[in-house]
This record gives sequence, structure tokens and C-alpha cells, in this order.
Amino acid sequence: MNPATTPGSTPDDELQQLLVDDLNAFERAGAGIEDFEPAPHDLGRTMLLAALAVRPHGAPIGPSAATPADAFHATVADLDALIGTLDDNELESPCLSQYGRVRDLVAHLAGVEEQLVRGLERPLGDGMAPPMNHVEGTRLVIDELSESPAQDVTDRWHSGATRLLKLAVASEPARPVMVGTMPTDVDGLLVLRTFELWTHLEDICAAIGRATPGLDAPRFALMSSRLVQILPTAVLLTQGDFEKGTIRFVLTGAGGGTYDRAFSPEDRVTAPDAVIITDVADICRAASNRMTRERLPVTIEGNAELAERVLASIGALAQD
Amino acid sequence: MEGLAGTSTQRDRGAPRTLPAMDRDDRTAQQTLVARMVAGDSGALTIVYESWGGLVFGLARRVTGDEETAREVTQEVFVHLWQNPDRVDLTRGTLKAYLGVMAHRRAVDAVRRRATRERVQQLCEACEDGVEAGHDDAIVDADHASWQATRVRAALDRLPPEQRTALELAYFRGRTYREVALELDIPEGTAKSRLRLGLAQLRRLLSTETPHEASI
Repeated sequence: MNPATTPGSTPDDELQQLLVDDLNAFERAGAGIEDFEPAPHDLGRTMLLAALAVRPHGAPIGPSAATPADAFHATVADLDALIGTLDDNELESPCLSQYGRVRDLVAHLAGVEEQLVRGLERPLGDGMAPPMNHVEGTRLVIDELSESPAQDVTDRWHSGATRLLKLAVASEPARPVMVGTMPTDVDGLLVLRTFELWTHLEDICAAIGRATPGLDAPRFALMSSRLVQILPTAVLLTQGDFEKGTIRFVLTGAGGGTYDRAFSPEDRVTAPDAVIITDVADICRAASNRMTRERLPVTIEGNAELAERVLASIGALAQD
Repeated sequence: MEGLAGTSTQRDRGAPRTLPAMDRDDRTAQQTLVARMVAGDSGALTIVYESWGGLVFGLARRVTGDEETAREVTQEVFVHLWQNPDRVDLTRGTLKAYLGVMAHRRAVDAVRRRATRERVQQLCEACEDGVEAGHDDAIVDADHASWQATRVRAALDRLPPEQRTALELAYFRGRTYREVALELDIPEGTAKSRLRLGLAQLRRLLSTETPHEASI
């Protein structure tokens, strides 16, 4: 209870602070203002209707989601900027075991972009490219570039990513495509690529001991909304059946949102059986298999068993 | 991606059927509630209303002395919270304190609006009757009987009368320092000075109290 008088503050400001302090003091003393009767119940309903009229349920405060193309473009720029600052030692640093060094991981990315470019260059009538193992499918490129100058590796990745973006923007967003073993559409491809580039950007930072640059809210909003859409597929992949029920995902933090998602063959949303509250960046990391369920800070309300089964499947969509 | 999993929907389905009891004094729980509202979870707004709606409504009713106005104020406070949850700064105080301050401020505003309406109405009536309007001193009838029992009330009583009067007008009746000056018919600088001196003295008095002493 000692509010500082800040330069320029008026007595009105100070009084306002005094009132805040006073109410806090009430609470510390555990007295007084708890004694009010509950507010009228019908008022709660009226208030909720009025509130939802000005901001619907599920609409987060903050910027709207990025478009898939913008998200991919920005993430390519982020990764390119990071790679541009790496010295030779950092490029040679061990990274993920399935790739080897940081530069090998970049070579893997080059291989992925080239696979996807080939897929988008196929005439529409030829259908989707065949499924391909995400890691092994790029092994030839990794080996080919393993002794090349590091600049050639990064240039090849950047060139592939740029070409991919151009092709994607020129394509119908709903055109079916295959990303690794996952069928999706062009917009989905760009979201998945954004996911992977962000994930590997964090992998590289971890490998070389740098702080991870944060992703902006519009990209998290895009990634997380797509993630929630596709989660029933993850449950099907891992458990062979749906866990029937509706889950409300409350994703907090910049780029978060609230999503009521049906986990049933009918895809019918009902009143939520469970609420999963977690940070938007953390759930994206869990989906990328970079954060285990045990390390994921989450609050569950309602049917915890249903929520846990869904959370257990969340990393099933990650390809490396 | 779309075709595989169908679409998710964003709609209000109400709160989940089983909600845990809310620990109202837990700062982390309050932060989570605010974060949930920022994320668009109307279930969190319901929890906040169920937890502190009584406080807001009760404060508003005390200040306005009118149930219908208190309902309007309560709705205003919670709709404002739902529209602007990102403005809640829990480093400055608890969610309860925030709602209490909002309720007090809006209730005082409502009383002022009502007083203005009444004054205009009286003036009109006076004009119609051809009678000169008299002095209207029923501007704010904030019921601060309960507040008189608080430690702030007790501390105010120990202030010099001119400081106490100025602070009472500002604190209990929501006047700005300019309005205090007008009401007491003193220069603005004097009002400022009395408020500042009074506030400083009040802080000294309150800061020497223990939480127990601060209780009512």
C-alpha cells in the first residue's frame, strides 16, 4: 500500500490507484466485500448474451490468422535470416540425430521443397505424387550436399522454398497434394511447411545454443487453427477409432483462440465434454513432437480421460 | 487437411458440464481466466461472473441505490471485461479489485448521468412552471455507509477537515479534482494541493496498519 506518485500523475490518477490498493487491502484482510449476495441469475444470462453480441464466443483478441502463403513466406524469411548468421562451426554443429549436422538439416529441407515442387509441377490430371517417407525421401539430397560448400546448401533450400511458394500461389488452394505420407491441399501444404520450418528453426537454435525467435501471432493463429482441425485424424491414426465427444481447446497466448472440436464420425459439435487449456506455442511444439505430453503445461476441465487420449495422439502427425 | 478432418467450429456451446471449483484467491487461476477470455472462451466469462458478479452488483447497488441501475452497471462491467480482457493488468491488483474498481467507477458515472437527467428535468419543470430553479444538491447519493466502516474511512476521519472533505468528495463520490474545486468553491490549485496532501497523509496512516487492523 504505497503507490508511488509518478511524475505527471494527477490527484485523480492517485485516487484511482488508492482505490485499487484499497480493494487489494480488503482482500488481504479477507473482509468486507465477500459479503455480497450472488448476482441475480437472470442477469448472468442477459449479460452473456450482450457480451457475445459484441464479441462472439471463439473470437480471440488480437490479429487475425495469416494466410498460408504469407505464413510460409515469413517463415522462409525467418529461417533464411537465421541461417545467414550461422558461422562454419555452427553449421557443422550436431543437430537432430536423423540428419546429423545443422547443414544436413538444411539439406533435408532443400530435399523436401524439391519433392513438393515436383508434386505441384505434375499436371492436374496425373493426381497426387506418391507418398514418400519424410526423412528417407530426402536422404539422397542430404548425401549429395554433404561435402558441398555450406552456402550452396542454403542457396538450394532457399531456391526450392521460393519456387514452391510461387507454384503454390499459382495453384488452386484446394488442389489435392501429398506432403510426405499425408494427403492435403495446397493451403494445407503451406501450413505444414510453415510448421516444419518453424520447428526446425527452433531445432537449429537449440543445437547452437541460441534463443529461439518467437513466431508472430498471425502465424500461430493459422497453425493452431489448422492443428485443431486435423486432430481427429491424429486420433484415428494412433487409436484406430474416435474418442467420442466434443473438446473445447482454449489456446492462450498471442495467436491463440478457442475451438470447439467434435471427435466423432458424425463430426457433430455438442456441449464440450472437456476443456483443454494450454499455450498456443506449446501445443504447436507438442504437435511437432518437440514437447512431450508430460512437459506440456495444460489444464483440463471436465472429462480428463477423453482429453488425455486426444493429447496422447497430438504428435502423431509430426513426420520427423 | 481440410478434407480429412472436416472443419472445426467456433460457437458458444456454454460451459463444460463439469467445472472445478474456482479458487478465487489464486492469482494463477485469475491469470488463466483472463488468458481464456483473451482467447475467446466465453466459459471463462461465465466463471468470472459466477465468482464476482455478486461483488459487482452489490457495489453498484450500494453506490447507485437502485437495483435497475445496478443491473445495467453490472452488465456494462462484464461486457467491457469481455471486450477488453487484455487490458486487465493483474500486476496491479487482483481480478476482484479490477472488477470492484470498474463497478465503482461505472456506478458513479451512472449516478452522475442520473443526476444530470434529474437536473435537466427539474430545470424544464421550473421553466414550465415559471419558477426559478433552485439549487439542486441531490447530485450523488452514493450509499457509503458500508465504506464508513473501512479502514479508509477511519483514516479519513483523522485528516484535517479541509483535506478530509476534498478526499471524501473525490473518493466516495467519484469527483475529479476540478469538480472538487467547483463544489468547495476553491481554486483548482488549492483542491489539488488538498488532495495531494490528504492522499499523502492517508497513505502514511494506512501503510502503518497491519492487514488485521485494516479489516472491518
